[in-house]
Amino acid sequence: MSRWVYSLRYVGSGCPTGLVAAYPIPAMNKWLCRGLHMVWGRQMEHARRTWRTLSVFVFLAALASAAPKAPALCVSEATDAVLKMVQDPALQGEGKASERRTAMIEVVDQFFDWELMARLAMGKHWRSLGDTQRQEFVPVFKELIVSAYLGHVEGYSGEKLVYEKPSVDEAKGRAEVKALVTTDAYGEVDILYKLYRRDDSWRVRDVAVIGVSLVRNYRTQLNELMRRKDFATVMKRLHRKIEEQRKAGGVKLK
Amino acid sequence: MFGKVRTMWRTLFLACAFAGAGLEAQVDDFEDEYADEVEVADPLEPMNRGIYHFNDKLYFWLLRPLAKGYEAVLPKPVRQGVRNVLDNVSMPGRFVNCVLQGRLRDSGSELARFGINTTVGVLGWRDSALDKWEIKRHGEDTGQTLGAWGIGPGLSLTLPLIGPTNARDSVGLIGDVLLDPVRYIPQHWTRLGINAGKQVNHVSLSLGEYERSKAAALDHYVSLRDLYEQYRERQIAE
Repeated sequence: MSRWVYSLRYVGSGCPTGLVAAYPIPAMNKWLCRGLHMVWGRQMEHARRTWRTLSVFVFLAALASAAPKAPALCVSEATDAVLKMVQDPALQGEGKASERRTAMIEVVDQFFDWELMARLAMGKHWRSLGDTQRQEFVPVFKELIVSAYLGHVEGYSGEKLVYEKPSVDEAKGRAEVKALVTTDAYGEVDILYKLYRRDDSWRVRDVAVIGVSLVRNYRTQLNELMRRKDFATVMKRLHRKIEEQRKAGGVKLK
Repeated sequence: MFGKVRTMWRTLFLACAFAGAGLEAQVDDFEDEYADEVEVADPLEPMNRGIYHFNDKLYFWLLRPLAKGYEAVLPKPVRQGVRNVLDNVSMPGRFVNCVLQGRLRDSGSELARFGINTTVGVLGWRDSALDKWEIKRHGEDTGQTLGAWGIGPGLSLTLPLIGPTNARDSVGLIGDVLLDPVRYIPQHWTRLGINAGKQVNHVSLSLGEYERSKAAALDHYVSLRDLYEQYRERQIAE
Protein backbone atom coordinates (compact mmCIF):
# COMPACT_ATOMS: atom_id res chain seq x y z
CA MET A 1 0.00 0.00 0.00
CA SER A 2 1.25 3.44 -0.72
CA ARG A 3 2.30 5.72 2.06
CA TRP A 4 -0.60 8.09 1.51
CA VAL A 5 -3.29 5.44 1.63
CA TYR A 6 -1.97 4.16 4.92
CA SER A 7 -2.03 7.61 6.40
CA LEU A 8 -5.54 8.34 5.26
CA ARG A 9 -6.84 5.14 6.72
CA TYR A 10 -5.62 6.11 10.14
CA VAL A 11 -6.50 9.76 9.93
CA GLY A 12 -10.15 8.91 9.52
CA SER A 13 -10.15 6.60 12.49
CA GLY A 14 -9.14 9.32 14.91
CA CYS A 15 -5.99 7.49 15.78
CA PRO A 16 -3.07 9.82 16.52
CA THR A 17 -0.93 7.87 14.13
CA GLY A 18 -2.80 9.64 11.41
CA LEU A 19 -0.69 12.61 12.28
CA VAL A 20 2.44 10.85 11.29
CA ALA A 21 1.20 10.65 7.72
CA ALA A 22 4.08 12.68 6.39
CA TYR A 23 6.74 10.36 7.76
CA PRO A 24 9.29 10.16 4.98
CA ILE A 25 10.11 6.46 5.05
CA PRO A 26 7.02 4.52 3.99
CA ALA A 27 8.05 1.22 5.53
CA MET A 28 8.71 2.83 8.92
CA ASN A 29 5.40 4.62 8.71
CA LYS A 30 3.61 1.35 8.17
CA TRP A 31 5.28 -0.36 11.07
CA LEU A 32 4.84 2.61 13.33
CA CYS A 33 1.15 2.66 12.64
CA ARG A 34 0.81 -1.03 13.22
CA GLY A 35 2.85 -0.85 16.38
CA LEU A 36 0.90 2.02 17.82
CA HIS A 37 -2.28 0.29 16.94
CA MET A 38 -1.21 -2.88 18.71
CA VAL A 39 -0.25 -1.05 21.86
CA TRP A 40 -2.99 1.53 22.03
CA GLY A 41 -5.46 -0.15 19.78
CA ARG A 42 -7.92 -1.19 22.45
CA GLN A 43 -7.82 2.13 24.28
CA MET A 44 -8.25 3.96 21.01
CA GLU A 45 -11.29 1.88 20.22
CA HIS A 46 -12.78 2.56 23.63
CA ALA A 47 -11.98 6.26 23.46
CA ARG A 48 -13.58 6.47 20.07
CA ARG A 49 -16.78 4.82 21.25
CA THR A 50 -16.97 7.04 24.30
CA TRP A 51 -16.42 10.11 22.20
CA ARG A 52 -19.23 9.14 19.85
CA THR A 53 -21.75 8.77 22.65
CA LEU A 54 -20.47 11.85 24.42
CA SER A 55 -20.62 13.92 21.29
CA VAL A 56 -24.36 13.29 21.01
CA PHE A 57 -24.90 14.54 24.54
CA VAL A 58 -22.60 17.48 24.02
CA PHE A 59 -24.62 18.38 20.96
CA LEU A 60 -27.92 18.13 22.81
CA ALA A 61 -26.59 20.07 25.78
CA ALA A 62 -25.41 22.77 23.44
CA LEU A 63 -28.89 22.95 21.95
CA ALA A 64 -30.59 23.14 25.30
CA SER A 65 -28.28 25.63 26.88
CA ALA A 66 -27.96 27.85 23.82
CA ALA A 67 -29.28 31.03 25.32
CA PRO A 68 -32.32 32.06 23.26
CA LYS A 69 -32.64 35.74 22.47
CA ALA A 70 -34.86 37.40 25.04
CA PRO A 71 -38.49 37.56 23.87
CA ALA A 72 -38.82 41.31 24.28
CA LEU A 73 -35.80 41.84 22.10
CA CYS A 74 -37.22 39.68 19.34
CA VAL A 75 -40.51 41.51 19.23
CA SER A 76 -39.20 45.04 19.61
CA GLU A 77 -36.55 44.42 16.98
CA ALA A 78 -39.11 43.12 14.57
CA THR A 79 -41.69 45.84 15.09
CA ASP A 80 -39.15 48.63 15.10
CA ALA A 81 -37.68 47.33 11.89
CA VAL A 82 -41.15 47.19 10.39
CA LEU A 83 -42.00 50.71 11.54
CA LYS A 84 -38.71 52.03 10.21
CA MET A 85 -39.56 50.53 6.88
CA VAL A 86 -43.02 52.05 6.93
CA GLN A 87 -41.45 55.45 7.44
CA ASP A 88 -38.56 54.92 5.05
CA PRO A 89 -38.78 57.71 2.44
CA ALA A 90 -37.48 55.43 -0.28
CA LEU A 91 -40.46 53.14 0.23
CA GLN A 92 -43.12 55.82 0.48
CA GLY A 93 -46.00 56.34 -1.87
CA GLU A 94 -48.81 54.32 -3.38
CA GLY A 95 -46.64 52.79 -6.08
CA LYS A 96 -44.17 51.30 -3.69
CA ALA A 97 -46.73 49.36 -1.68
CA SER A 98 -45.59 45.93 -2.85
CA GLU A 99 -41.91 46.71 -2.16
CA ARG A 100 -42.92 47.90 1.30
CA ARG A 101 -44.85 44.77 1.89
CA THR A 102 -42.03 42.48 0.74
CA ALA A 103 -39.55 44.29 2.96
CA MET A 104 -41.85 44.05 5.95
CA ILE A 105 -42.60 40.39 5.42
CA GLU A 106 -38.90 39.59 5.33
CA VAL A 107 -38.45 41.11 8.75
CA VAL A 108 -41.57 39.71 10.32
CA ASP A 109 -41.10 36.21 8.86
CA GLN A 110 -38.38 35.11 11.21
CA PHE A 111 -40.21 36.13 14.36
CA PHE A 112 -43.70 34.80 13.70
CA ASP A 113 -44.56 31.12 13.72
CA TRP A 114 -47.08 31.30 10.88
CA GLU A 115 -47.48 27.56 10.66
CA LEU A 116 -48.51 27.27 14.26
CA MET A 117 -50.90 30.19 13.90
CA ALA A 118 -52.49 28.63 10.84
CA ARG A 119 -52.86 25.35 12.64
CA LEU A 120 -54.41 26.93 15.73
CA ALA A 121 -56.73 28.99 13.57
CA MET A 122 -58.07 25.80 11.98
CA GLY A 123 -58.63 24.43 15.46
CA LYS A 124 -60.37 21.10 15.69
CA HIS A 125 -60.81 20.97 11.91
CA TRP A 126 -57.06 20.60 11.44
CA ARG A 127 -57.33 16.92 12.20
CA SER A 128 -59.84 16.40 9.43
CA LEU A 129 -57.50 17.88 6.83
CA GLY A 130 -55.24 15.70 4.76
CA ASP A 131 -51.55 16.46 4.27
CA THR A 132 -52.01 18.09 0.85
CA GLN A 133 -54.82 20.23 2.19
CA ARG A 134 -52.71 21.34 5.12
CA GLN A 135 -49.81 22.19 2.86
CA GLU A 136 -52.19 24.11 0.65
CA PHE A 137 -53.74 26.00 3.53
CA VAL A 138 -50.73 27.17 5.54
CA PRO A 139 -48.92 29.42 3.03
CA VAL A 140 -52.13 31.00 1.77
CA PHE A 141 -53.40 31.66 5.27
CA LYS A 142 -50.02 33.05 6.21
CA GLU A 143 -50.35 35.67 3.52
CA LEU A 144 -53.70 36.75 4.89
CA ILE A 145 -52.49 37.00 8.48
CA VAL A 146 -49.43 38.90 7.38
CA SER A 147 -51.68 41.42 5.66
CA ALA A 148 -53.90 41.67 8.71
CA TYR A 149 -50.99 42.22 11.05
CA LEU A 150 -49.16 44.62 8.76
CA GLY A 151 -52.41 46.47 8.22
CA HIS A 152 -52.52 47.15 11.92
CA VAL A 153 -48.90 48.22 12.02
CA GLU A 154 -49.29 50.58 9.08
CA GLY A 155 -52.32 52.07 10.78
CA TYR A 156 -50.14 52.96 13.72
CA SER A 157 -47.24 54.30 11.72
CA GLY A 158 -45.77 57.46 13.13
CA GLU A 159 -47.01 56.74 16.61
CA LYS A 160 -44.61 56.04 19.39
CA LEU A 161 -44.25 52.45 20.51
CA VAL A 162 -43.39 51.78 24.13
CA TYR A 163 -42.49 48.28 25.25
CA GLU A 164 -43.35 47.04 28.70
CA LYS A 165 -41.20 44.59 30.60
CA PRO A 166 -41.95 41.10 29.27
CA SER A 167 -43.33 38.35 31.48
CA VAL A 168 -41.33 35.19 30.85
CA ASP A 169 -41.89 31.66 32.10
CA GLU A 170 -38.61 29.96 31.30
CA ALA A 171 -39.66 26.54 32.52
CA LYS A 172 -42.73 26.32 30.32
CA GLY A 173 -41.17 28.29 27.51
CA ARG A 174 -43.87 30.96 27.40
CA ALA A 175 -43.56 34.72 27.25
CA GLU A 176 -45.70 37.78 26.71
CA VAL A 177 -44.55 41.19 25.57
CA LYS A 178 -46.80 44.22 25.56
CA ALA A 179 -46.34 47.26 23.34
CA LEU A 180 -48.26 50.48 23.99
CA VAL A 181 -49.22 52.85 21.19
CA THR A 182 -51.07 56.13 21.49
CA THR A 183 -53.71 56.47 18.79
CA ASP A 184 -56.21 59.16 17.86
CA ALA A 185 -59.42 57.23 18.09
CA TYR A 186 -58.87 54.91 21.00
CA GLY A 187 -56.25 56.64 23.11
CA GLU A 188 -53.68 54.23 24.40
CA VAL A 189 -53.80 50.90 22.59
CA ASP A 190 -51.95 47.84 23.77
CA ILE A 191 -50.56 45.19 21.44
CA LEU A 192 -49.78 41.96 23.21
CA TYR A 193 -47.40 39.47 21.63
CA LYS A 194 -47.64 35.92 22.91
CA LEU A 195 -44.44 33.98 22.37
CA TYR A 196 -43.27 30.48 22.95
CA ARG A 197 -39.84 28.93 22.81
CA ARG A 198 -39.22 26.66 19.89
CA ASP A 199 -35.82 24.98 19.60
CA ASP A 200 -33.55 27.82 20.65
CA SER A 201 -35.49 30.88 19.68
CA TRP A 202 -38.64 32.65 20.70
CA ARG A 203 -41.41 32.79 18.09
CA VAL A 204 -44.64 34.73 18.17
CA ARG A 205 -47.73 32.55 18.28
CA ASP A 206 -50.44 35.20 18.62
CA VAL A 207 -50.98 38.95 18.62
CA ALA A 208 -53.77 40.58 20.63
CA VAL A 209 -54.69 44.20 19.87
CA ILE A 210 -56.82 45.80 22.63
CA GLY A 211 -57.41 42.33 23.96
CA VAL A 212 -58.62 40.97 20.63
CA SER A 213 -56.58 37.94 19.66
CA LEU A 214 -55.80 37.58 15.98
CA VAL A 215 -55.68 33.80 16.08
CA ARG A 216 -58.93 33.56 18.01
CA ASN A 217 -60.68 35.88 15.60
CA TYR A 218 -59.70 33.74 12.63
CA ARG A 219 -60.50 30.62 14.57
CA THR A 220 -64.10 31.74 14.94
CA GLN A 221 -64.40 32.64 11.28
CA LEU A 222 -62.83 29.41 10.08
CA ASN A 223 -64.95 27.36 12.44
CA GLU A 224 -68.11 28.86 10.94
CA LEU A 225 -66.90 28.34 7.38
CA MET A 226 -65.73 24.77 7.94
CA ARG A 227 -68.91 23.89 9.79
CA ARG A 228 -71.35 25.39 7.30
CA LYS A 229 -69.47 24.94 4.09
CA ASP A 230 -66.24 23.05 3.38
CA PHE A 231 -62.53 23.33 2.92
CA ALA A 232 -62.83 24.18 -0.76
CA THR A 233 -64.91 27.24 0.10
CA VAL A 234 -62.34 28.32 2.65
CA MET A 235 -59.55 28.12 0.09
CA LYS A 236 -61.65 29.95 -2.48
CA ARG A 237 -62.31 32.78 -0.05
CA LEU A 238 -58.68 32.96 0.97
CA HIS A 239 -57.56 33.23 -2.63
CA ARG A 240 -60.18 35.86 -3.35
CA LYS A 241 -59.15 37.96 -0.36
CA ILE A 242 -55.51 37.78 -1.32
CA GLU A 243 -56.35 38.73 -4.90
CA GLU A 244 -58.28 41.73 -3.65
CA GLN A 245 -55.37 42.77 -1.49
CA ARG A 246 -52.90 42.42 -4.32
CA LYS A 247 -55.12 44.45 -6.61
CA ALA A 248 -55.41 47.15 -4.02
CA GLY A 249 -51.63 47.31 -4.06
CA GLY A 250 -50.80 45.39 -0.95
CA VAL A 251 -51.60 46.81 2.44
CA LYS A 252 -54.11 49.65 2.35
CA LEU A 253 -53.21 52.99 3.82
CA LYS A 254 -55.70 55.40 5.33
CA MET B 1 -18.59 -0.82 13.41
CA PHE B 2 -22.09 -0.79 12.06
CA GLY B 3 -23.49 -1.62 15.50
CA LYS B 4 -21.89 1.45 17.01
CA VAL B 5 -23.05 3.72 14.22
CA ARG B 6 -26.57 2.38 14.60
CA THR B 7 -26.50 3.10 18.32
CA MET B 8 -25.43 6.63 17.65
CA TRP B 9 -28.18 7.24 15.13
CA ARG B 10 -30.72 5.65 17.44
CA THR B 11 -29.72 7.98 20.26
CA LEU B 12 -29.97 10.99 18.02
CA PHE B 13 -33.33 9.86 16.67
CA LEU B 14 -34.74 9.39 20.18
CA ALA B 15 -33.47 12.81 21.18
CA CYS B 16 -35.21 14.38 18.21
CA ALA B 17 -38.36 12.41 18.89
CA PHE B 18 -38.47 13.78 22.41
CA ALA B 19 -37.92 17.28 21.16
CA GLY B 20 -40.73 16.80 18.65
CA ALA B 21 -43.02 15.39 21.31
CA GLY B 22 -42.34 18.51 23.32
CA LEU B 23 -43.66 20.66 20.49
CA GLU B 24 -46.81 18.58 20.10
CA ALA B 25 -47.54 18.91 23.79
CA GLN B 26 -47.17 22.68 23.51
CA VAL B 27 -49.52 22.83 20.53
CA ASP B 28 -52.10 20.87 22.51
CA ASP B 29 -51.73 23.36 25.35
CA PHE B 30 -52.39 26.24 23.01
CA GLU B 31 -55.37 24.45 21.49
CA ASP B 32 -56.85 24.03 24.96
CA GLU B 33 -56.32 27.68 25.67
CA TYR B 34 -58.43 28.68 22.70
CA ALA B 35 -60.94 25.87 23.05
CA ASP B 36 -61.70 27.11 26.56
CA GLU B 37 -63.08 30.36 25.17
CA VAL B 38 -66.86 30.35 25.06
CA GLU B 39 -68.46 31.52 21.85
CA VAL B 40 -71.60 33.61 22.15
CA ALA B 41 -74.82 32.10 20.76
CA ASP B 42 -76.23 33.64 17.60
CA PRO B 43 -79.71 32.22 17.01
CA LEU B 44 -80.84 35.36 15.16
CA GLU B 45 -77.97 35.18 12.72
CA PRO B 46 -79.94 35.72 9.49
CA MET B 47 -81.47 38.89 10.86
CA ASN B 48 -78.16 40.02 12.29
CA ARG B 49 -76.42 39.46 8.98
CA GLY B 50 -79.07 41.50 7.25
CA ILE B 51 -78.52 44.41 9.60
CA TYR B 52 -74.78 44.00 9.20
CA HIS B 53 -75.17 44.49 5.45
CA PHE B 54 -77.34 47.52 6.05
CA ASN B 55 -74.71 49.02 8.37
CA ASP B 56 -72.00 48.21 5.87
CA LYS B 57 -73.77 50.07 3.08
CA LEU B 58 -74.54 52.93 5.44
CA TYR B 59 -70.86 53.24 6.26
CA PHE B 60 -69.68 53.34 2.67
CA TRP B 61 -72.51 55.43 1.28
CA LEU B 62 -73.11 57.90 4.10
CA LEU B 63 -70.83 57.78 7.12
CA ARG B 64 -67.50 57.53 5.35
CA PRO B 65 -68.09 60.32 2.81
CA LEU B 66 -69.33 62.54 5.61
CA ALA B 67 -66.33 61.73 7.76
CA LYS B 68 -63.94 62.35 4.89
CA GLY B 69 -65.46 65.73 4.19
CA TYR B 70 -65.41 66.54 7.87
CA GLU B 71 -61.76 65.46 8.08
CA ALA B 72 -60.86 67.73 5.19
CA VAL B 73 -62.43 70.72 6.87
CA LEU B 74 -61.35 70.31 10.46
CA PRO B 75 -57.73 69.65 11.45
CA LYS B 76 -56.99 66.74 13.74
CA PRO B 77 -56.37 68.69 16.98
CA VAL B 78 -59.80 70.29 16.58
CA ARG B 79 -61.48 66.94 16.08
CA GLN B 80 -59.65 65.52 19.07
CA GLY B 81 -60.79 68.51 21.06
CA VAL B 82 -64.39 67.93 20.04
CA ARG B 83 -64.07 64.29 21.03
CA ASN B 84 -62.66 65.28 24.42
CA VAL B 85 -65.43 67.81 25.10
CA LEU B 86 -68.18 65.31 24.32
CA ASP B 87 -66.39 62.66 26.35
CA ASN B 88 -66.07 64.98 29.31
CA VAL B 89 -69.78 65.73 29.22
CA SER B 90 -70.67 62.05 29.41
CA MET B 91 -68.92 61.68 32.77
CA PRO B 92 -72.08 60.92 34.82
CA GLY B 93 -72.56 57.59 33.06
CA ARG B 94 -69.03 56.51 33.85
CA PHE B 95 -69.25 57.79 37.40
CA VAL B 96 -72.48 55.94 38.21
CA ASN B 97 -71.25 52.70 36.67
CA CYS B 98 -67.99 52.81 38.59
CA VAL B 99 -69.97 53.21 41.80
CA LEU B 100 -72.35 50.39 40.86
CA GLN B 101 -69.36 48.13 40.30
CA GLY B 102 -67.95 49.05 43.66
CA ARG B 103 -65.00 50.83 42.12
CA LEU B 104 -65.13 53.86 44.34
CA ARG B 105 -61.60 55.01 43.67
CA ASP B 106 -62.24 54.99 39.94
CA SER B 107 -65.47 56.92 40.41
CA GLY B 108 -63.47 59.47 42.37
CA SER B 109 -61.00 59.64 39.48
CA GLU B 110 -63.83 60.34 37.06
CA LEU B 111 -65.09 63.21 39.20
CA ALA B 112 -61.58 64.58 39.48
CA ARG B 113 -61.09 64.29 35.73
CA PHE B 114 -64.30 66.16 35.12
CA GLY B 115 -63.30 68.93 37.46
CA ILE B 116 -59.77 69.27 36.11
CA ASN B 117 -60.65 68.99 32.43
CA THR B 118 -63.53 71.44 32.64
CA THR B 119 -61.36 74.08 34.30
CA VAL B 120 -57.74 73.57 33.33
CA GLY B 121 -58.66 71.67 30.19
CA VAL B 122 -61.00 74.46 29.04
CA LEU B 123 -64.45 72.85 29.08
CA GLY B 124 -62.93 69.46 28.40
CA TRP B 125 -61.06 70.42 25.24
CA ARG B 126 -57.78 69.13 26.58
CA ASP B 127 -57.40 66.00 28.67
CA SER B 128 -55.25 67.79 31.24
CA ALA B 129 -56.05 65.26 33.94
CA LEU B 130 -54.24 62.58 31.96
CA ASP B 131 -51.46 64.77 30.56
CA LYS B 132 -50.48 66.52 33.76
CA TRP B 133 -51.65 64.33 36.61
CA GLU B 134 -51.88 60.93 34.88
CA ILE B 135 -55.40 60.28 36.08
CA LYS B 136 -56.62 57.61 33.72
CA ARG B 137 -60.01 57.42 32.15
CA HIS B 138 -62.26 54.58 33.24
CA GLY B 139 -64.62 53.87 30.41
CA GLU B 140 -67.27 51.99 32.34
CA ASP B 141 -70.76 51.69 30.94
CA THR B 142 -73.97 49.97 32.01
CA GLY B 143 -73.33 46.88 29.90
CA GLN B 144 -70.02 46.38 31.66
CA THR B 145 -71.71 46.84 35.02
CA LEU B 146 -74.19 44.11 34.17
CA GLY B 147 -71.31 41.94 33.06
CA ALA B 148 -69.43 42.62 36.26
CA TRP B 149 -72.52 41.50 38.15
CA GLY B 150 -72.17 38.16 36.44
CA ILE B 151 -74.70 38.52 33.66
CA GLY B 152 -73.54 36.73 30.52
CA PRO B 153 -73.77 38.20 27.02
CA GLY B 154 -76.94 36.28 26.19
CA LEU B 155 -77.27 36.18 22.45
CA SER B 156 -75.60 38.17 19.74
CA LEU B 157 -77.46 41.11 18.23
CA THR B 158 -76.53 43.48 15.46
CA LEU B 159 -78.26 46.83 15.72
CA PRO B 160 -78.66 49.41 12.97
CA LEU B 161 -76.08 52.17 13.17
CA ILE B 162 -74.63 50.75 16.36
CA GLY B 163 -73.24 47.53 14.96
CA PRO B 164 -72.57 44.29 16.80
CA THR B 165 -73.72 44.01 20.37
CA ASN B 166 -75.41 41.42 22.55
CA ALA B 167 -78.55 41.05 24.67
CA ARG B 168 -76.95 42.27 27.88
CA ASP B 169 -75.22 45.24 26.28
CA SER B 170 -78.40 46.29 24.48
CA VAL B 171 -80.12 46.57 27.83
CA GLY B 172 -77.02 48.37 29.04
CA LEU B 173 -77.37 50.78 26.17
CA ILE B 174 -80.74 51.87 27.47
CA GLY B 175 -79.09 52.60 30.79
CA ASP B 176 -76.35 54.57 29.04
CA VAL B 177 -78.86 56.72 27.21
CA LEU B 178 -80.64 57.50 30.46
CA LEU B 179 -77.37 58.54 32.08
CA ASP B 180 -76.24 60.66 29.17
CA PRO B 181 -76.65 64.41 29.92
CA VAL B 182 -77.12 65.14 26.22
CA ARG B 183 -80.42 63.26 26.37
CA TYR B 184 -81.83 65.90 28.64
CA ILE B 185 -81.37 68.75 26.19
CA PRO B 186 -84.97 69.73 25.32
CA GLN B 187 -84.43 70.57 21.66
CA HIS B 188 -84.78 67.40 19.63
CA TRP B 189 -82.67 68.55 16.67
CA THR B 190 -79.83 69.74 18.88
CA ARG B 191 -79.71 66.32 20.51
CA LEU B 192 -79.68 64.60 17.15
CA GLY B 193 -77.03 66.95 15.84
CA ILE B 194 -74.74 66.30 18.77
CA ASN B 195 -75.11 62.53 18.57
CA ALA B 196 -74.61 62.46 14.84
CA GLY B 197 -71.65 64.78 15.09
CA LYS B 198 -70.13 62.56 17.74
CA GLN B 199 -70.36 59.56 15.40
CA VAL B 200 -68.92 61.40 12.41
CA ASN B 201 -66.14 62.82 14.53
CA HIS B 202 -65.23 59.41 15.85
CA VAL B 203 -65.20 57.86 12.39
CA SER B 204 -63.06 60.69 11.05
CA LEU B 205 -60.45 59.91 13.68
CA SER B 206 -60.39 56.20 12.85
CA LEU B 207 -60.77 56.28 9.09
CA GLY B 208 -59.49 53.21 7.35
CA GLU B 209 -59.99 50.82 10.23
CA TYR B 210 -63.29 49.44 9.05
CA GLU B 211 -61.91 48.96 5.56
CA ARG B 212 -58.80 47.22 6.89
CA SER B 213 -60.87 44.96 9.09
CA LYS B 214 -63.04 44.06 6.10
CA ALA B 215 -60.05 43.36 3.85
CA ALA B 216 -58.52 40.99 6.38
CA ALA B 217 -61.65 39.02 7.19
CA LEU B 218 -62.85 35.80 5.60
CA ASP B 219 -66.33 36.34 6.97
CA HIS B 220 -66.57 39.94 8.07
CA TYR B 221 -69.82 39.58 9.96
CA VAL B 222 -68.37 36.79 12.14
CA SER B 223 -65.11 38.67 12.51
CA LEU B 224 -66.85 41.78 13.84
CA ARG B 225 -69.05 39.75 16.13
CA ASP B 226 -66.04 37.97 17.58
CA LEU B 227 -64.04 41.19 17.80
CA TYR B 228 -66.85 42.81 19.76
CA GLU B 229 -67.17 39.92 22.20
CA GLN B 230 -63.44 39.72 22.84
CA TYR B 231 -63.25 43.47 23.38
CA ARG B 232 -66.18 43.44 25.80
CA GLU B 233 -64.72 40.53 27.74
CA ARG B 234 -61.57 42.54 28.22
CA GLN B 235 -63.43 45.69 29.16
CA ILE B 236 -65.51 43.89 31.78
CA ALA B 237 -62.46 42.17 33.24
CA GLU B 238 -60.51 45.41 33.62
